[in-house]
Amino acid sequence: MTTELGPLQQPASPLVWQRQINAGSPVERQGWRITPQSESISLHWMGGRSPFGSLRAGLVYNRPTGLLLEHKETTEFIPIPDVTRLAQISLWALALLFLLLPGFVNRRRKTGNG
Amino acid sequence: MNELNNGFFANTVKNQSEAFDLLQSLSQTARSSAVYSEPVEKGDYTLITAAEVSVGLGYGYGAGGGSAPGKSEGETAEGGATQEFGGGGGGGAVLSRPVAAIAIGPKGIEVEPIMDVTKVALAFFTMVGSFFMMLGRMRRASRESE
Repeated sequence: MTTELGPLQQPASPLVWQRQINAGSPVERQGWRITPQSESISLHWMGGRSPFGSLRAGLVYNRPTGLLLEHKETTEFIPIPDVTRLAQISLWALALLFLLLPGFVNRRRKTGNG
Repeated sequence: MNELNNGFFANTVKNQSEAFDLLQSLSQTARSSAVYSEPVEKGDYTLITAAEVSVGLGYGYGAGGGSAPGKSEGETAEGGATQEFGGGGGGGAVLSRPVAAIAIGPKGIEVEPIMDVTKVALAFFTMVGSFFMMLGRMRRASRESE
């Protein structure tokens, strides 16, 4: 069930990105068919090519998204929460708010005084 | 679990096609099997672990050629034959972090999230630092307005 990725083609643009939802090998337990799903983002840079050399780079980010449960005729999707990422984003957002807040307050104070 | 581990790696590439194969191997990481482990049976339970995986790599390759000067003027090295030289190298990094453990048992299917305390603690200290910066800036601004 895993999605086969084709060979890299020489693209028109030096930077190519791709987002894919992949399904893993299904597991059958207690009458349930469980298919794990993941999301991958690939970035390929095929720049700097000349007859004398080339420079290429690639980046792949792959994360689990959830489980697809199938039982007889019912289908259910259980998401896999990434609590670490959620906590990090919340704390970083709070940090950004703290950094921007004094500037905003000072501007309002100056406008009020003027 | 996949065979990838956290860390950096370096590789020698002999030619451009070998380097291209190295970049092609990135597509292996984009598969679902890189994220989910093989199911492990333990009693009535089946366990699967899920991890976030990121891989980055880059390489460069260069070649050049020319005729080396000989012993006397107008004579080139090795009977006047031109020589070509080339070389390349690459490097990359693999990062993987466990996200959740999936347990399939008599009670049903349970997804247990895994928290990376170190990463959350670092983000928390960043937040605390920016909070104190905010306090300092506001105190300075109120002093200036007085």
